[in-house]
Amino acid sequence: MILILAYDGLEYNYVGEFNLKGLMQKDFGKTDISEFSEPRTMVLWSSFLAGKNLEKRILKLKNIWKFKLKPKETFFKHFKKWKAIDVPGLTHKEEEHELERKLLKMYFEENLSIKEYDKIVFEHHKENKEEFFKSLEEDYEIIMAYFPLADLIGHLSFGLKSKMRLVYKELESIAKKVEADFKLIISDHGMKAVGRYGDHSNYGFWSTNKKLGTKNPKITDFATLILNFSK
Amino acid sequence: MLSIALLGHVDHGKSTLIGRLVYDTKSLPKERLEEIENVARALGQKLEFAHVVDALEEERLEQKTIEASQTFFRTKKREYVLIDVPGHKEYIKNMATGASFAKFGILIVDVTKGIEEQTKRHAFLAKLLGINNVIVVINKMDLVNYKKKKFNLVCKKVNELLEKLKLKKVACIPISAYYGDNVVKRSKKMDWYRGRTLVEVLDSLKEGEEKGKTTLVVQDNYDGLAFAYLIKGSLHVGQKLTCYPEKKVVRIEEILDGDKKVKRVDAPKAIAIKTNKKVKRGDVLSLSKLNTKSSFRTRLFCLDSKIIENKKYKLRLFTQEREAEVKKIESVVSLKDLKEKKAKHLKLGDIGIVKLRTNHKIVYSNFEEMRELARFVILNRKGQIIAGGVIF
Repeated sequence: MILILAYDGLEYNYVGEFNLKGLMQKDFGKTDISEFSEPRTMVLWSSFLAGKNLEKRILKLKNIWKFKLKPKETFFKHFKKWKAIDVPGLTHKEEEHELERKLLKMYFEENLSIKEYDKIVFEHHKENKEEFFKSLEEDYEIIMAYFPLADLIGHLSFGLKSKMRLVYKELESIAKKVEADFKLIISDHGMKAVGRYGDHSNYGFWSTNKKLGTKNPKITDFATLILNFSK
Repeated sequence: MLSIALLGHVDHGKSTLIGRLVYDTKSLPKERLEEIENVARALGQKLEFAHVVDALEEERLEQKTIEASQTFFRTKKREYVLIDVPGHKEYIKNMATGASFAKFGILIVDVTKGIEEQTKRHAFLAKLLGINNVIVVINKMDLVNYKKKKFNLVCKKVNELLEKLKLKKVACIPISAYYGDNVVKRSKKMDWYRGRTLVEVLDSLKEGEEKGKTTLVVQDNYDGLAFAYLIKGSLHVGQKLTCYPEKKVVRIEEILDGDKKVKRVDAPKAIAIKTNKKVKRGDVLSLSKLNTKSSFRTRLFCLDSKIIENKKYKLRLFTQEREAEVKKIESVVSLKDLKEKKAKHLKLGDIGIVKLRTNHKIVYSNFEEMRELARFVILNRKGQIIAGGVIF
């Protein structure tokens, strides 16, 4: 079974600083996303799925969160039984993502507390986590589970290491609980602190449970790697 | 509030000890702790001590008005400010500019590593800066299974170092800052230790009265209203003080605390005063007998590339500013090897016993009498601090 843990906003430097071996696995590093004009979540995950840069196509849309690929446009087309949980650009839960963006805006307009915002994010996380562990009971060839926890909490709290350490530990604990023939942990982008807040950084994170021997891969390189491994 | 300098090697657990003191004395701001606790609860995780240390670090960075190297905590007895000494340069600068000054020190030593170069340097520095009383904490006892034998071994070596430097050891305590053993709470894992916890020792310290009497330094004078800083004692209307360096007697006619007229104030306090005779910036009004000299012997801590004999610098002692020359470097101790030698100049990290000469008389005290008037800084032409001095 191939397992892809898609951790939005997982920052390479925090993984190292918190010494999270479960996230580093056997091989890990930064991904190169410099070909993209900005580190946008929807653009990066869609490009990851398609194995090519889809920035121009997506940016034509008025609301990029309405973008959805057909499975035949992604590496999933090579698998008979696959599962993609909340993956941006394919199966993302539009309502929940819209709500989180709205809450973020409300926080900056001083209509919402961090506590209230965090609560919604944790609920979303819990839902994805349950769905993911349930999917493991079935016989899928490939599962890709998306967790936006690090990114969503990071936007309001990336500068608070105390808080982010807990978030990263949670993501590590998910990764440690599951075994797979090929386990890829990947983020679209990392984050950098702006005071207590966090902004997207211009590189991502990847790790695998097999030695890949690749240095600074592009996020679009992984579609071929996944396919090669499945063969 | 009692100031305590935290001395020792950077990797021997200083941040953890600070975190532990703040956490176990419940001095960490509630909101920040609650936010982390909420996350831990939501994710079904246990709050670990590392999170508290992180939170404290964040809190310190946010408190921009306070020196990042200072941490406050409170016990039932009193408030403390813990001054972390990341490097001697920062500490001397803070000390010389009056931002921090500690009479007592906590020397932290990792039981698994023992005394290292930085431990020696900090202990030596403590001595030079007048921190004569040191509480030794032997940290990371959990890593040696809380063994008495290991503690005794390191403690003996530290004793030898302190004896050599003529520093008084207040106590030597086996602790685990990470697990909180013997910091605020008594350890259940070291029954063999019958002494006090770190906080019990801290609470037993006596600040001790300095000998100096009422003293204030004049910062400015606008139309007969002098702005001053009362550094010592009590000041009341009608009091007569000697105004240095002229040594004229001045009577206090009026005291303003903010915009309120008051009859009496206690140090430390920024005030405005009216006097029967004009006073100006740099004047020092005191009931103590102060020194006024243009040539004196002092200890100088070099914080920049070089201090050369006979070169002109600027000396600043509170609001007094003078042109100053190092007339003679009598001896130098390098912080690198702690060895005393002869030299013609001081370089970064050197501590020299020097003779200084100023263009006009300067008002000062010695360290034992009034430490506030016994420390000064030397600036270069660009106005950067290049050395700190203490007159003993």
